[in-house]
Amino acid sequence: MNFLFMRRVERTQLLRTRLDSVIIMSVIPASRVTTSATPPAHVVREELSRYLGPFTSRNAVQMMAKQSAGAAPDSLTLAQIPALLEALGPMLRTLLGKGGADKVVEEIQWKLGL
Amino acid sequence: MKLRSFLPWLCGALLFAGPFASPPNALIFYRSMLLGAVLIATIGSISAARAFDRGDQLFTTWAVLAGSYVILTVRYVLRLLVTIHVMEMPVTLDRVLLIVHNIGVPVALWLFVRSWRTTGLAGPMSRAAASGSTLAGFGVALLIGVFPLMRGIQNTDPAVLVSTLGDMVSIALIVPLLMPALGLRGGLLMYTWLYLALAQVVWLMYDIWAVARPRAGVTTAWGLAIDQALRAVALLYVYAAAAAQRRALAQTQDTSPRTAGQPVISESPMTS
Repeated sequence: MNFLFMRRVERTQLLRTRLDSVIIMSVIPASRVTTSATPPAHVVREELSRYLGPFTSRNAVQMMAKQSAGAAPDSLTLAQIPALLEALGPMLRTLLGKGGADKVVEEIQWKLGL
Repeated sequence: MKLRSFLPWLCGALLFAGPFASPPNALIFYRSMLLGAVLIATIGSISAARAFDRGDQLFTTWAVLAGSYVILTVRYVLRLLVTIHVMEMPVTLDRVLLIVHNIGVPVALWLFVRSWRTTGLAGPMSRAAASGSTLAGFGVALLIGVFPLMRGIQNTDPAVLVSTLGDMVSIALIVPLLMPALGLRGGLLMYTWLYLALAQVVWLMYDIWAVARPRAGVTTAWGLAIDQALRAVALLYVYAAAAAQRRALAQTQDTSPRTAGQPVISESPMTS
């Protein structure tokens, strides 16, 4: 009896979580929501790709991920992204100027919720 | 390839109206059109420089390029005024302007190449392939420039020698300018480097045409039209590069998705 009660509570909680998710997903633009399956470095790469193209953005993120965290880009956690962005800073400032680089970094931080 | 990549050629084709006019009118037409083209290149370069902050590396680069084109604008104004008999050609000033312009442009192009190198980013080719291509570019520059260079050394006018050396350096920088364009392909910044390289490719074509023109079997009028059209196309590619730079920087200022001020979400609620 107690077991059945617990199962019902669990199912209710699960449904509530899913309902919350549906509400949040419908309010928040899709561009701002990253799933846990998407590595944060992927968001950085995608954003840089608009300016640098896919080849150079991939290379830049790979090179700076190694430099800032000594790790492969896809294994970087959200907490390691600020260091990655800092490492990318000089390159972005050269190509886009200080104003442009700051805006791109802001955009990435906003997308990742940093 | 976007239509704007071909726009300089379409605009340059307008100069083929020249042979249909009388020779004196054709000269005024060419000089006016070239003045228009150099003004467009100058305004474009100035506006690209203004898009950067003063401390930015590419601000200096674009400012040097803009300065060189301001000088060329003055020179083209003088030449037009001489053509319409408003004044006599101030020979010394004309030479000084030509020398300063021919130093300024290669310096600016070198600054572009240096800016790319300071990023530490690698191009799409292996180091050996990149070095080989750069050396091949230097070889072409030497091949094209060696004959005019010999003539320049023998010439008493230093402007001829400086102009030839400037051309050779600019041609030698085509490959180093194309490397970033290849690396940046698919990105907005690609167009700046591509158009800068294309401007130098057209100057290379102009130099080849200058050598080939006497043996090409075309009439003087059409030979001159091709000569002037190539100049205009090269200048318009400089404008295209500047416009591409401004477009890329304008894109960074586009903050439209952020204006909603939504709460920050970094993990999907579905997975929590």
